[in-house]
Amino acid sequence: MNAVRKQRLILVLLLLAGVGVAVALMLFALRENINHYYSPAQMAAGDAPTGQRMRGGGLVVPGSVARDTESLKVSFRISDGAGEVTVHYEGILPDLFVEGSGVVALGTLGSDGVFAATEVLAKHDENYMPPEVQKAIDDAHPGYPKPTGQATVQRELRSLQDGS
Amino acid sequence: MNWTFFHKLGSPKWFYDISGKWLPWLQVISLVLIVVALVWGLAFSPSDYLQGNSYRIIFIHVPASFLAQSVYLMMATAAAVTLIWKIKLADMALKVMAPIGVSFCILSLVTGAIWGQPTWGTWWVWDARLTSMLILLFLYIGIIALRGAIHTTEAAAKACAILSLVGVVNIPIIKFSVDWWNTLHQGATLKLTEKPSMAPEMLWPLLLAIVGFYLFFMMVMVLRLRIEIISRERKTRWVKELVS
Amino acid sequence: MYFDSWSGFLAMGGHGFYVWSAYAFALAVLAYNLISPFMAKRRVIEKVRRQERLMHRKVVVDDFRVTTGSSDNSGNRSANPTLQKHRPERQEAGPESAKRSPQ
Repeated sequence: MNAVRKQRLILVLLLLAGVGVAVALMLFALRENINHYYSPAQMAAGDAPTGQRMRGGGLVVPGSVARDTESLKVSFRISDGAGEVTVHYEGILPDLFVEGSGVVALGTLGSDGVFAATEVLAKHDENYMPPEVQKAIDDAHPGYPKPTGQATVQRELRSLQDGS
Repeated sequence: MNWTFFHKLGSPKWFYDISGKWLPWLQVISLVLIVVALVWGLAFSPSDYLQGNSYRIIFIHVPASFLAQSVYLMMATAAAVTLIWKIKLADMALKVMAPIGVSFCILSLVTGAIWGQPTWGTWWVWDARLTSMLILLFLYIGIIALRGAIHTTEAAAKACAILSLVGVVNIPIIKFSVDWWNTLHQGATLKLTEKPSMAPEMLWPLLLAIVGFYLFFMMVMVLRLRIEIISRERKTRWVKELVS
Repeated sequence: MYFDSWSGFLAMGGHGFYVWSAYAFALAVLAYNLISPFMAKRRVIEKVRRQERLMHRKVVVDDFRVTTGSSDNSGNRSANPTLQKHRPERQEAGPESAKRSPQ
């Protein structure tokens, strides 16, 4: 490799390093804003802004879903293991919305601590398995929250709580 | 270190000759793999316990997303070679890879949107994974447009190489976006260090599809590169003999 | 086969629209990638041939003026330059390129 090429190689590396550092700094400055949602613990601790539109995400607490018989109004609690928040919503819920599953709700957090959602999205994890396998895991661990596959979302939320 | 082998590797005529031998194999193997993988995934894999049958989109979505990112990495590598060694073949590769990469990037975004609707309840969210993937699409389009805007081959090669290199910082952002931030998009199913979080009867067709898509990309790239060689080397004797 | 019936396969448990539209789009992208190089090849070969013919004519003119011939006039096969009109060449160009395009 001759001197000219070596010089060009160094230039290319410098260019990459420079852009890399610039982007890293930018992402560091934006680190909170890039989060798609706040966790219930953050909301409970007052880390999340009230009165402005934001997203809250967590697992639907089993047994907390209360549906209105007359309308599409529904109320449920979401949890990340460290905190809980009540969500009110009116509309059609996604198919994947079940007790114990992960959700991300878009709306505003009131001063009363109730999250008024205008949109509810289902978050699923990266585990894929046939229903029989899932059933077998259920039978082996009867106490496990359902659906068991969502354990990763739960873990994710917990590590987020520990980390921040 | 002796770098002459490297320059020999960059000879368009050498590449044209050798790639002609690979092509039929690439064509047959990639198409067979894709057909087998997709039929397996569509008709023979069990449904998912949570998502039912809509998860079958994974057999296109994941290979397309992998390719969209890998093609960009290859373009950045070709860009570095273009800038440092001024090897013509590297710039030709950079040029012909861009339209293939853009097609798989669009495929990834579209299948992701189609999959998002039944599972998440929305076509699109501005989370870090989806947004960084959209930026990748714009980078691809930018590189293609830049080459179209500059008429001298030399200057276009340099400009495209620099843009490709600068854009490569987006690739680790796409990869780690699901780990660094709370995204709606789930984490990686296929991991290098851990066991994949997928049942084997779903994993096998997925892996086959990934290999099939990569081979398909190589095949299309070789096809396009051979044409680019003919076009740029048209003044040389061997191309004239080839064409006439 | 995972599905019990053909209609069950098409319905995909109610997700048929999503699954099939995703696969249809994938098929379109793969087809585009497969077909476009062959279209491009035809165009490029046509371009190179046309340029070759233009070069020929220039060579012919040079020969008449008895100036220095171009360095690679290897394509100048005919003994009588005036007979080397490009018309017959163009006629054979069409079918030939079509024949050549599938590898």
